[in-house]
Amino acid sequence: MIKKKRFFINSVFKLSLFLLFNQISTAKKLYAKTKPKVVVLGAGFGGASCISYLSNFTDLIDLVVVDKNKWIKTCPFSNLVIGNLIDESNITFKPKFNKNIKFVVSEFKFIDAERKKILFDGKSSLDYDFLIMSPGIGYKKKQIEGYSVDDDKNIPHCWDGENKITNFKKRLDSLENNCKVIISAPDYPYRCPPAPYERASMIANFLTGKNIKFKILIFDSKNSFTKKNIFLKEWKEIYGNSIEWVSKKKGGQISRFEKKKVFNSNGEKIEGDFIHIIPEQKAGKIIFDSKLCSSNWCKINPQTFQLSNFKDIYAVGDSVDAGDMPKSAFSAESQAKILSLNLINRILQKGYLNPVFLNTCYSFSSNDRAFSITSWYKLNTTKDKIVSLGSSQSSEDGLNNERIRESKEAFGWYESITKTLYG
Amino acid sequence: MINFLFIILLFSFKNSISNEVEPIVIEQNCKSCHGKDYSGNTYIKSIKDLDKETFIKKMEDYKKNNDNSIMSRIVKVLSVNDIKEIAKIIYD
Repeated sequence: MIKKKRFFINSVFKLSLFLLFNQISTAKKLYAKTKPKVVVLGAGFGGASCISYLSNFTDLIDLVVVDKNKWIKTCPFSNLVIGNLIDESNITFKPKFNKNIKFVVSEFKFIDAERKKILFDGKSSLDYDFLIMSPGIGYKKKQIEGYSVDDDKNIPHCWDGENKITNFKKRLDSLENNCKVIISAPDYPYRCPPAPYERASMIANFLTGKNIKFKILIFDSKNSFTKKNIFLKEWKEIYGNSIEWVSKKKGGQISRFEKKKVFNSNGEKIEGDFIHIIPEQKAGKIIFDSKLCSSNWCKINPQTFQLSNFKDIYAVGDSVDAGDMPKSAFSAESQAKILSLNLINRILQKGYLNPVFLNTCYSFSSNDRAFSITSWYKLNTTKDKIVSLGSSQSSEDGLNNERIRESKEAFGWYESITKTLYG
Repeated sequence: MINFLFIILLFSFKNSISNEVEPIVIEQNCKSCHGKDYSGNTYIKSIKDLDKETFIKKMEDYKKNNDNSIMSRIVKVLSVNDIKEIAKIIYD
């Protein structure tokens, strides 16, 4: 009982005390008339994590979250939907934010950084004092010749949580015996580095379930990839020779796409029944439409996540250049905690906390087998880049029970994080 | 011998993440898997149900065992000092 009582003074509460001690009166003087309004754009893992943390400070700030969707479909675990491990409803959430947080469901069109306004469809707009952008990824204009992200005739890429998994699976389900699947994996950086290879595994899992023979060729714009040796071993053990990886130097870079065929950079033609191009990526569209970023990814101060040229605008997650950190949901959540804490510190006119981040990426190779890579990160000595403290991954020769255990841990992580973020 | 122990202690302290960052910043990362209130779930162990000493012992075991499980890989980077600082935040 005593122990349970002690837990009421949990670490979030301690964190609030840590930040707020002797600062509330200062803050109230600073913002005597109104509380500063913090607007979070995007309720994916990065944005929802900011909301989760900042919701402890609604005495100090007005908090608004904006997303174009009422229901959030997560990218993490979407490969598992493709692999028939889980249902699409298992990755779809209606966020239950605290009552004192305003949730606006609307498509944002433009951020007017000068006037500190977000413009929506029509004439409506929303003012902010501090803006946190977590819009996820967008796509580069220049893709493989002949391929368009927006062409509905193409196999949907399913890389951004949009409602196209059903279409993807329907087309996958139409494949017949001895079919050939071609996957084109982009060069770094892109959202979730091991995901193209997990996707290949999940497509294989799906087709295995249909009891048909298949070949999956992964044409890669890179010469290696994360957890490569584990993936190769798992593929061999589970799917025999059905999955083959072609490195860039062996002709893996696809340069042209046509219906039912692709051409690699050597000019060789490869025909396939299901051609799945994973597009080249950059920061979310709103960032470029609003002219907030001049390179593919947002340059940020890695201690605060403020944009380099806009002191009241912050960015988190896949849209930012986070140094050594991969673009993953786990990374976004870890970054969001630091962003939120240091935003509160800024409002309280306190010094910034020095950050440390954690990332873990799980990948599934079949129904009940998974493996992971993990790393801690901190700032370099000049505090202008996030650097890894050394990554480590599951054993290449992992035993069955280790792979099964990690698949359960992956489900455990997903359950915890989605419960924290979406209720 | 005392000098030797002092060097070990100094080395261990120097390599603590908590020497550079507030321990609460490290501790916040544990919640990603173990949950906001550390209650865990079907697949992830509850930290809430442990006491401080058991927690420290388990974390030190992960460091020593080096069995390449996800926890041993995460804890490997933390020093004994880091572990104790995290335990203080969670249990004191």
